[in-house]
Amino acid sequence: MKKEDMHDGVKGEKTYCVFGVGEREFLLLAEDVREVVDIARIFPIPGAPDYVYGALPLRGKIIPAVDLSKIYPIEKPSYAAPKLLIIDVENENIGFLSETAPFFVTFDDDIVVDDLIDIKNFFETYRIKTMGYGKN
Amino acid sequence: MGKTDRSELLEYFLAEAEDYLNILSRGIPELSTASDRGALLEELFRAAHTLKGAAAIVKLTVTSQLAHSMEDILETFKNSQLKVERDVIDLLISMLDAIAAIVRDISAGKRETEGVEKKFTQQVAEVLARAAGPETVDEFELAEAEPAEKALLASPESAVPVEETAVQAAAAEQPVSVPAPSIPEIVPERKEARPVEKAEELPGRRKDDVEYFFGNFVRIDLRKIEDMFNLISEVTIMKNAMMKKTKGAGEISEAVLFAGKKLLEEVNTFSERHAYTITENVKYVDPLFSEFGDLEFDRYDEQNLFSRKLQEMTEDITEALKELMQFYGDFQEDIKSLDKTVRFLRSDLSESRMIDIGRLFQRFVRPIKDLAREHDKRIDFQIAGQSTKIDRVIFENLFDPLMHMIRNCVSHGIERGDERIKSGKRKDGLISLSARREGINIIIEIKDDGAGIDPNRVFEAAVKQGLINSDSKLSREEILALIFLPGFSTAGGTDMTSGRGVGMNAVRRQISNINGTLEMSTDVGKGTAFRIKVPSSLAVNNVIVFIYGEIEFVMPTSLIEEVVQYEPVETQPDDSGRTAFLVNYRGTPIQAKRLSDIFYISGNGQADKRDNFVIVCSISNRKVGLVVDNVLFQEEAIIKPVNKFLEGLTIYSGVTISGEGKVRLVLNPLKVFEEETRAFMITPPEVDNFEGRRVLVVDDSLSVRKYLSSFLTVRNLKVLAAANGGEALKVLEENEVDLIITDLEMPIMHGYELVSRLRASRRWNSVPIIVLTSRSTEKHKEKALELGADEYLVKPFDENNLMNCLRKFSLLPA
Repeated sequence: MKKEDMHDGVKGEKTYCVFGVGEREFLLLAEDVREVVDIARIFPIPGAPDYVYGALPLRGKIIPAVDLSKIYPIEKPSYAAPKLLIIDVENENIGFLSETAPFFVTFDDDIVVDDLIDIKNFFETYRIKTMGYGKN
Repeated sequence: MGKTDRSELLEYFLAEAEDYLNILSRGIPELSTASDRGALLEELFRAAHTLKGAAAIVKLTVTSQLAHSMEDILETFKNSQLKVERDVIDLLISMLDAIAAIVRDISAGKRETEGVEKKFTQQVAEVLARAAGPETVDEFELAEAEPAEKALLASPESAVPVEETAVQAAAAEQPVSVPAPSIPEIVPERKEARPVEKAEELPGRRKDDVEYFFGNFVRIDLRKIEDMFNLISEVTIMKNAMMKKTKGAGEISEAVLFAGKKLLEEVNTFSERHAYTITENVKYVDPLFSEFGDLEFDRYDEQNLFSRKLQEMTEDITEALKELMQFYGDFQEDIKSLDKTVRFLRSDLSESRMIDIGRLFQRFVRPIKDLAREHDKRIDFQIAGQSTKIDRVIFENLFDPLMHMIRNCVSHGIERGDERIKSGKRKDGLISLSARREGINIIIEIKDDGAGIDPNRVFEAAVKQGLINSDSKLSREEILALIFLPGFSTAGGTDMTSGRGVGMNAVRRQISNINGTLEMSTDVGKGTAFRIKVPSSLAVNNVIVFIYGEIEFVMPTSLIEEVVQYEPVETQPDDSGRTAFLVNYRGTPIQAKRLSDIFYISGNGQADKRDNFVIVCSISNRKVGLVVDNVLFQEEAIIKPVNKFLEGLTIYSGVTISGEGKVRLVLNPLKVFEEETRAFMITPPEVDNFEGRRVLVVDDSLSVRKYLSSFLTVRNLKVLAAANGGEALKVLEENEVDLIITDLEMPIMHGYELVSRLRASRRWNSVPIIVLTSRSTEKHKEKALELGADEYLVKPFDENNLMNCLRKFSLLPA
């Protein structure tokens, strides 16, 4: 995590949820994180790109689990006791796999944090839009 | 009270606007012919008025002004100040179209187009000025009449040209009456409710408002219902888990009862022998009955007393067991009752999403009329089965495909009047739209009595468009199925209704997205019929659960013709060297596919075995087969839409969650067989789940078993347990394990014997064994390793050492 002062003025605070994949830590705005769940089992989704590790049911909804190690250059994570961070985005829920139990940190809101995932942008970028699937 | 979100208000407006646009859209063209024009005008006026108010609230000023102008015109009709004439109806329709376009834009997240209302200002002013003229009122002589009387006095024939009444007149002749108004008249049932008749007396409150307030209806956002469905499926999962546990509890109860009975038998036998027998070793003689002999007074030694106590306790236990069984029986009944209630709840909730399909059919009345006029044709439009209930989501998804097919019927199917007469047909063409329920499905048929589809013309068009070779040998059915190919069109040019190459392929795709099928039959010169089969509810469906490559999928039974045993058909490679994959279906070879042809998943290693199954589906009159490893069962399932993040995976038309909490994808056969597959650069998942590797823990200490079980389970390993070597062997008879952790000192069979037996067994000689014991001497360790143990850990053990062992034996990632 890297912090930089951006500007002076009246300071508020922002709370972030920090989670780990491999050797890296990522941040999400705390308000984007609906909950964190332990994973008992993930079900594969044939045809999905490899960053969609699978899906799991949560209170009647199907949550796709995203493996950030397939998107960012990260050493292969073990996911020995993985957690899933459930995110609210675009009236949907998606989950990020985390190797560690996530924790929350609070910074002044004029601090820019690295490795912050802009969830709307992420959703739009990685949402599966293609009509095709599977292999040739 | 918090500030109301405008987007939320807009959603309410859109829901409401749809109803009012429907009323106006259906009613305005009927103004010229309605038998009870007064009532119709009242209804239209109210719709325009409410639309105006609703639009104003959400600051849609253009919409509000347009609706206001419509209201003004309708009011002049209502007050008999204006004659119902063609140009005024056309003006109302144009204004309605403008509002509908704005509503569509708003739905799509766009803004209201400013200035639209100005296009109509001049025309509206002219119409209203005409209404203000005294001669108009005189002409009708209706000023004093009541609305119903006005309608009777106003002769439709005198007011409207004959050719413009074709659709309505024809519809009126049909056995099924013209659709009823969309908003039903609601009469309050409860005594305390204020009578609707009093509505007009309430200042500032319309009749509709009163109906809402005092009737039994509320508007509910579909997403709320969706959320409720989600919760119900969660309750179902919990209920199923409880049922499973209940079964386990039942087995335990039976085991306890069995053991209890055995104990009782033993105790009874013991008691019979010892209850009254006085041993010679009685040490204490009660002086009170010392004068009695053995047979004269029962005497009890300690054994007798113990025996009696045992008997009493056993009777208590038996009583408790009976109560336990009774409790178990009652509990089972309660669970069954819960199961039933959940089913009812699901069914009722499903019903709440259902609406009459007639409301959808009504939407086509005006477009058909407009299209007929545009193509200079006369068409009767018949509707049947309007009260058939259908899921709201399916309802919405059917409009576009039906509209497309109806356009085709009008522009391509029905011939011009003179051509029809030459062919010996009635001058007016006929298009019928019907719906009926068949089991859990709804069948919708669109028929026309037009020219039919000529296979020769289809063939020529397909060759011209490069879809097939001119020397292709195709059957009639295969040729007709070409109309479903992407880009196919028989239209020579592009007009408003055809020739854009998005034809029947798009129609079929839209229908398949709602788990429906589309079939067509045609007779040259006589007409064409399309048959759409869709599930009546998208939420609750009958599905077949099948497995391929250890992954469970489902497919709605409505899409399945039959499931048959796999029987391949030998084929020769074609000119391009490709060999078709065909299977036998009732003596006929049909095209087949495996999911491994599409995905990176492999079957169960028994692919192409006779015990595989083929799910046969019918796609556009063509039978195709999906080869699967096994068909598990059929069940009723709630199908949920695919998460938006995954919506590009159109091969799935939904997702279900099994009672055990498994995610099952709903496979869309149309996509499997007919859509082109483009590849993601994906790799198969390396690990499909985090559990699965099994460890057998053998230790006579419950604490050790529990501790190890907890330690391993949190690392997503599955744990089996045994209290000694003998139990361990029994567990191994029925289970495969990836690692054994065993103690040395245990009753019945110790660890050394267990290790040596396992190493002597062909099945278990290579499974890793870790000895976990409190014996720390080298002597013990050497013996264990000599017998075949792989690792030796001493209690209390270092967790890191155990973790290293787990990694060494690949139970955890390195």
